[in-house]
Amino acid sequence: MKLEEIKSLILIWGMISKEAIEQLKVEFLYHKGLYILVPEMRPYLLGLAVSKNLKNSRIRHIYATDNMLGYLFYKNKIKKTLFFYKEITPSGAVGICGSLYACLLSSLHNVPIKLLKGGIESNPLDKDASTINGNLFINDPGLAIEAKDELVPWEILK
Amino acid sequence: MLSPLCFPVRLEEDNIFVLDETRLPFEERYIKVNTLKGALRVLGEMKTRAFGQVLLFFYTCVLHKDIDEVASTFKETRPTFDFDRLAETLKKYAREKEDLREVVNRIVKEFEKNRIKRAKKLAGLLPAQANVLTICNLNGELIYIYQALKEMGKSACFFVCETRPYLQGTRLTLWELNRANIPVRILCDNQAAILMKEGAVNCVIVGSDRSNKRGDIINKIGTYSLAILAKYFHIPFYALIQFPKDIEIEEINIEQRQEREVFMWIEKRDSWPRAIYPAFDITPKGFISDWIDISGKFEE
Repeated sequence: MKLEEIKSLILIWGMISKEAIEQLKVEFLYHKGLYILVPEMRPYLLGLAVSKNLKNSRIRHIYATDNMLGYLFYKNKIKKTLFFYKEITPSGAVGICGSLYACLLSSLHNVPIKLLKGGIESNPLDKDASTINGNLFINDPGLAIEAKDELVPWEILK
Repeated sequence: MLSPLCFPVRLEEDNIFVLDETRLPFEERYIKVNTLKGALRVLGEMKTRAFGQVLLFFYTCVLHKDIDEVASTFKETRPTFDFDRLAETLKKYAREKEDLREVVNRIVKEFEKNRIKRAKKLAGLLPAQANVLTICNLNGELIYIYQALKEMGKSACFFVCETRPYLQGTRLTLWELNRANIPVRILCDNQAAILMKEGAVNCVIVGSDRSNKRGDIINKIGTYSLAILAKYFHIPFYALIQFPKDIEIEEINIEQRQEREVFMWIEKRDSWPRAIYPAFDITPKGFISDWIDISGKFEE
């Protein structure tokens, strides 16, 4: 699909919940040109699981790698971010690896972030950048930065 | 040679040998090319890019002779890169009736000399302990930067974004730095923000496929994200540029590649979801701290 064909995107970050899928189904009835943007969400490739759930619910979506998010914000394609967090703390919301990246890019482009409780993730094959789909790409896996849950401070989520 | 990626394409008599970057780090294999069609195929299939595509362009001109045809077909295959500028340089020399092969050899040598000079210039700007975040692959230039830093009594560690979907960061940059015994770590592209927040990196270095005189650049997808995040965290962002032109950056066609390539290295499933793949992005000048030009001229 070409970028020019896309008007509006809703970005999903984290594991989408069943409740959210039901809400999105309703939203899609009223917005014909709308697509859900499903990023890859490395290292876990969580995007593939989210995409499967959306496909089963017949929700239109587009897949992209995580590093494409900035350009999609820059091109004003993303209108809203749904951040599926794991935990709420006094300092902010905690989400999967890359949550700060996704939310900060959203915030810096003045795109509203909606906080939603995340669904249950399956056990991922990949734990860091040393592998993809279980295949090792480097001789020394210890060179990969550990993927951890990330805190997104409230000032970014405002 | 420090890394095969410093000179990924070479000319031997009437054959061009192209390092197949898509096979790295598993296999160091060269593809023999001796026609324009063959050159376009390896370019289109991402067998080479960055400095490799510059060398491929020059050597294809030596074999094919028709510089304009090489430029226009290369541009069609990779619209984001400025092959016209390379053609202009070559034609300027060709008019003086010099042998094209000798001209190309001289230009390539000069280019390489200037890459080393550019690395030294940038090293001078970096802190005593440079923790450098980078993306994609700079064809050996990070090794030049590291050497320059060492000569200045500085040290460095490189933090490389894996650069999905082709994984140039993992397969090329990590590989070449690691085999040169240079401190390096690899991260998922989306870990850039947390590393910046935690203070693990103190500068960002990127290349550029295109740049204009205003200071905007086009580079591998993901570059813009690093730039805007770096600005937020007050981290200097350096762009290595070559031949900036008086152009509107937004008018340049950003290459959009095939959807299936977004799923590179992932095992084929029943069907892939629809996908988008803009291969490059635009970083406006406001997010760039300094530009280091290949001509050696330093612009602020």
